[in-house]
Amino acid sequence: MSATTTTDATDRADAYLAQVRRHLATLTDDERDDLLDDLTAHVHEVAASRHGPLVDVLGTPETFAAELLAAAGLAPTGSAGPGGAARHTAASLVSWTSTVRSHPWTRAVADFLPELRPAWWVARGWLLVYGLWLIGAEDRGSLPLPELFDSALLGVIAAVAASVVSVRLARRSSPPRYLIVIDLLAVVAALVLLLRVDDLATGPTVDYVGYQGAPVASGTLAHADGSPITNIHAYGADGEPLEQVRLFDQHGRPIEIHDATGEWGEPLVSEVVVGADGLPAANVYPLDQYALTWDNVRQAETRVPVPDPVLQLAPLPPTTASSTTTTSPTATTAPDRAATTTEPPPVGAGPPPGS
Amino acid sequence: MDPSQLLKGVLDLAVLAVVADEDAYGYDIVRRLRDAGLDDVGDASVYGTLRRLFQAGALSSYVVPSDEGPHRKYYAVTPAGRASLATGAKTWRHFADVLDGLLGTSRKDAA
Repeated sequence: MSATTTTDATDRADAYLAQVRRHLATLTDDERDDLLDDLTAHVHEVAASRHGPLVDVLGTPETFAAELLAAAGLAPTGSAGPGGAARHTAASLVSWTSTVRSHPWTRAVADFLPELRPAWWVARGWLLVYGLWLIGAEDRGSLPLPELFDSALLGVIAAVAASVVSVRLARRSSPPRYLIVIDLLAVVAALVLLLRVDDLATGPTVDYVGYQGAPVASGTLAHADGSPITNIHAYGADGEPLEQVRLFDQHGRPIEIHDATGEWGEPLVSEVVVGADGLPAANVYPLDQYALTWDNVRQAETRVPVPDPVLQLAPLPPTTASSTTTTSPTATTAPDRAATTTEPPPVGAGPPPGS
Repeated sequence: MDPSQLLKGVLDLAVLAVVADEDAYGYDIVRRLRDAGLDDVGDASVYGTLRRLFQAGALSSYVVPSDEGPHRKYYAVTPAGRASLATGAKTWRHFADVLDGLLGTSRKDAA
């Protein structure tokens, strides 16, 4: 064999192998190298032993690759590239799905589901009306009951009627195909309803209740009806307002109001009082508060002082001498001395300045 | 009847039989299968089958340096491969007997 024919055979073999490699793109590099490892020697040998195109002997590179994959028990590939990769993924998805389907738990659930079908037919009609109402209603109401023209009665009648129609359609010998669309819409409405129910369980209050039931979203105090307390005005026994009253809870923890907002949602900002020890005291009431609002005319943020409530209080009757809660008028300017509990003041509760 | 369809089902057995007879490298196996009469056997099918049998543990391999050209990967049958060859051979003989019986009857009927 002359040198030229050997070179020619090598070139033909390499070209053929390169094309086969292209058609094995779906394999991992390891798999492909493993498969082609042997083949390189083989194709070179075939090329060297015969003249003429290798396609005549081995078939097209594409067929060759497909045959190789089929025999090796790897996923067949029709073409190189992402299409083949997608098919590979689809194939493994199919096998995964069939694994899930054949699982006993899945079968138990699948056996049980048909029994629930009539319940779904009823729920579907009701959910559909509920969904329509959700789209139309501005105020989403406090009940998971649909309202029509602001009437809960009409809403319920419509929902019942829709449920009846839904069941009748489903029980036809050939249920209309558009029912699948209604099913989808009902599922969406059900999801929205679930979110609503979650809201309702939390209650209509402003507070967001945390996992331990403690108010977390804001440190704002609230009345029992949920309306927020944004400031505290203390009055003495004589009916006169007190200044710089420091409030603590049963553990001596300062009672503070944070992130307060006004009636229109505008943020209320309080001037921070700094004690003689240099530490800020946020529990000094009443808070010196102003609202931050946007002045449209001046195009600037403006501070609007929050007015104090106007109260006329009658003096309280004097308490017995043993009481330690009597507040003297002088205490209004020195609340630290007015704190007459026997416990020492909590840490960080230094006297405010200017007293 | 398309012989390549028949071949697909028994190629494992044929390859195992050839390698069990004597350790061989890929090209050699293809040639011996063709010499034995399986003219239609495809090169790619044989290589794919070799890889699968190797992965399944029915074959082992070793590399032998060659004076001319690249090294050659020789295949040998493992004990597991021998066991599956024996089982496969038994299955094939039974299948062939059944089919012979069927064909023999029909030939008699035709005659």
